[in-house]
Amino acid sequence: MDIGAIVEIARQTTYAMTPLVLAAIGEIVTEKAGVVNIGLEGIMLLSAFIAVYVAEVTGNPWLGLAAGTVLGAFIGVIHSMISNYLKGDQIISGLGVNLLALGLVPFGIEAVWHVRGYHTVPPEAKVPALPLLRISPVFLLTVLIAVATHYMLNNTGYGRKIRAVGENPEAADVVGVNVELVQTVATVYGAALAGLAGAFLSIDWLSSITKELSAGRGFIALALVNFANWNPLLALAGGALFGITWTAAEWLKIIPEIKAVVPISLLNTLPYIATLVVVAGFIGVSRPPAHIGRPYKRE
Amino acid sequence: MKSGLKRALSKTAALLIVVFVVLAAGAALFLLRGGPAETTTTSAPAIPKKIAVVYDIGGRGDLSFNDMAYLGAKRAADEFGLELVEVQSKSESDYLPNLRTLARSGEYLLIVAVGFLMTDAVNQTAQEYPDQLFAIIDGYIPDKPNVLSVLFKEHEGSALVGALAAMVAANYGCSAVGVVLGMEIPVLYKFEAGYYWGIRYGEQVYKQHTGQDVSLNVLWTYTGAFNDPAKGKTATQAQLAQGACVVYNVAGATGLGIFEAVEEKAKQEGKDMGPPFAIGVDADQDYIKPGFIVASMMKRVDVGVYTAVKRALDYYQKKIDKFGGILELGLKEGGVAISKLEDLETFLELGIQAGTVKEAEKQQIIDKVKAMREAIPSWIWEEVDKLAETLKTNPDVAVDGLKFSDIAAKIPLDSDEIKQIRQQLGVPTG
Repeated sequence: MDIGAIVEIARQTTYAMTPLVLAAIGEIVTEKAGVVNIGLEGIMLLSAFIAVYVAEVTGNPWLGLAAGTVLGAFIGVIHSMISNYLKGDQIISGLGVNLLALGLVPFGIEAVWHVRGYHTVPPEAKVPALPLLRISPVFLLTVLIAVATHYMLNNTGYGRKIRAVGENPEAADVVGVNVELVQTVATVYGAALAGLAGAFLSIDWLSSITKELSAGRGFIALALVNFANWNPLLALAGGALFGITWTAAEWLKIIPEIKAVVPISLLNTLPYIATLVVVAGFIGVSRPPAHIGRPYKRE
Repeated sequence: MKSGLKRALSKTAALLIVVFVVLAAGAALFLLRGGPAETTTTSAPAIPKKIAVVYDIGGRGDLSFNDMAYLGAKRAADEFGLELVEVQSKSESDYLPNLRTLARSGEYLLIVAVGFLMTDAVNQTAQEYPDQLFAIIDGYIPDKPNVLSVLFKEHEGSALVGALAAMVAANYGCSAVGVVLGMEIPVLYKFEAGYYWGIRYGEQVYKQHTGQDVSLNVLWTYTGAFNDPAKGKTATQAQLAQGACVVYNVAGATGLGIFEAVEEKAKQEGKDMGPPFAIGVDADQDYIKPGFIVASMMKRVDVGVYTAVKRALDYYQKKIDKFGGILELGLKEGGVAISKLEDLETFLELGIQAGTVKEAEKQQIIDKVKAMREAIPSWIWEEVDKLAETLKTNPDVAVDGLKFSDIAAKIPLDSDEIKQIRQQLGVPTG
């Protein structure tokens, strides 16, 4: 493999990792505040849909990205209402979002474009890649978000509040932190990033919407949160590792010498194996926030 | 409480018995009198005047399988004076009740189930209603006298697009051609085998025309998914980087990514049409990215449905004495074909009717596709048509010592057989 191929694989990796890292970083913040949102997959799919719709109607891809993010945030608000204020089951609420997306998106595609299954957008509705490097501006934003979120969680007062709420909400409550509000902010932030991830998928990496466009990326992002031990920078690194092996697998598949000895199914699982090995070797035991997934009820 | 319930029950039972007796008496009287006059005069059973098409979850408006099934059923209904009833399945659990409801009514000449997903449901309903005729598109039910399995010879259509791919690639001086597939399931081996054979055939023809020796690398990728366009895009980008300039889509929704990758590469090189090109599948997909999809391998589901209806009529009219079995449609029967400009118009018309395609866009798309087709030397298109004729009349035509009929004879292919075929045709094997 020549240098050109390596550069191209690296370029494609920036695309493969972006939706995973965005959704994972958002979920890290949500979970740090003690809330679990397994609805990432559904948010991505719904936001991918709305991004295509808005970008096509307005002819402006940036508005499409914004719409995806806002829809994500909105779903975050609903999830917060159920989880943080009504003290409902967070898993059920997240599952509900996933199921809603699976039903609503195919219906929406048909209602809006009168076609079943898929729709492609015109070129002007697609986010343009940066010249020369040919990578997405959203990728650069993702790196920025990873660094900023890491700083926010560890070095700011609000970050401390988020972590306190996720570790010991009673203590936080006693010292005057508004537990529900902090949890809601964290949940909305996480869901908004998942929304951006979905919009990136449909109008940046691709220029189409299908009824299963997210294809499991929301769940991979959930796994990435654990692998990264709730650390945004590790999520960025983990996403890069997953992305590069995921991309490289498609390149390896067409090399005859590799084809002859490695089964295709093994190449398809390469990203998962690589991530597992690295996690087992370097990160070891990960520790979730202590009060994760349980609604905080005052006694 | 209990005795009250019992009393109520026995009361109901008594009432039911009375009703039964009355009904039975009425029926007996009716039978003794010989029934209504008109049934006694006609001896042969009347031919039902309705046909039903049951769509799978994809449903009408997919601009593919289901829409084509509708076209075929509509044509048959118009031609034979039948009433067409369409039934949509909202989920997989609808298949069985939908089929049962139709079969129970006994009003239908034929019930057509569109798509292999309905295979089990058709099998079961056909067992329950042995007098009802069924046709299943793309499903395999060989042993029921009342079920016709309509299958397509995808290897024949794939051979045509393979030849086209090779000649187009050679024409633009590319070093490779590719195919991106979904999950590795034996059904797809047919596409592979036909495509590879076609590629080698195309190389031969190219040499005859230009005197140039070409030996193309053949790249193939099983992405492992039918639903992930992003993966299709990445797999295609890898193939394009390795010199491929025509990539065949055998990957369902994943194939949208193939089209994206091809368009992006061409645009990056400042071109507004291929090369590189993609090849569409199942329906005429040439309109999805006009100028970047050189042609499509069409499975003519409409021909399949029409043929099934005709056969059901023939069976009722006693022209044939066996309805069920396997009906394989290939080039000869018009069951598979390479897309033409006329097909594009048909599909755009479908799109306009549904509201997907705007009237104003139609001519633009046609012009673009026409310009793309005209940019490719006309002899290449003629050679593809010629191959279609050859395969109809002389399937023993051979390349690299492999007769096309040898491939056809081995179908259904298993993983060892496809490996052998790849090897024989100089394609890296897995």
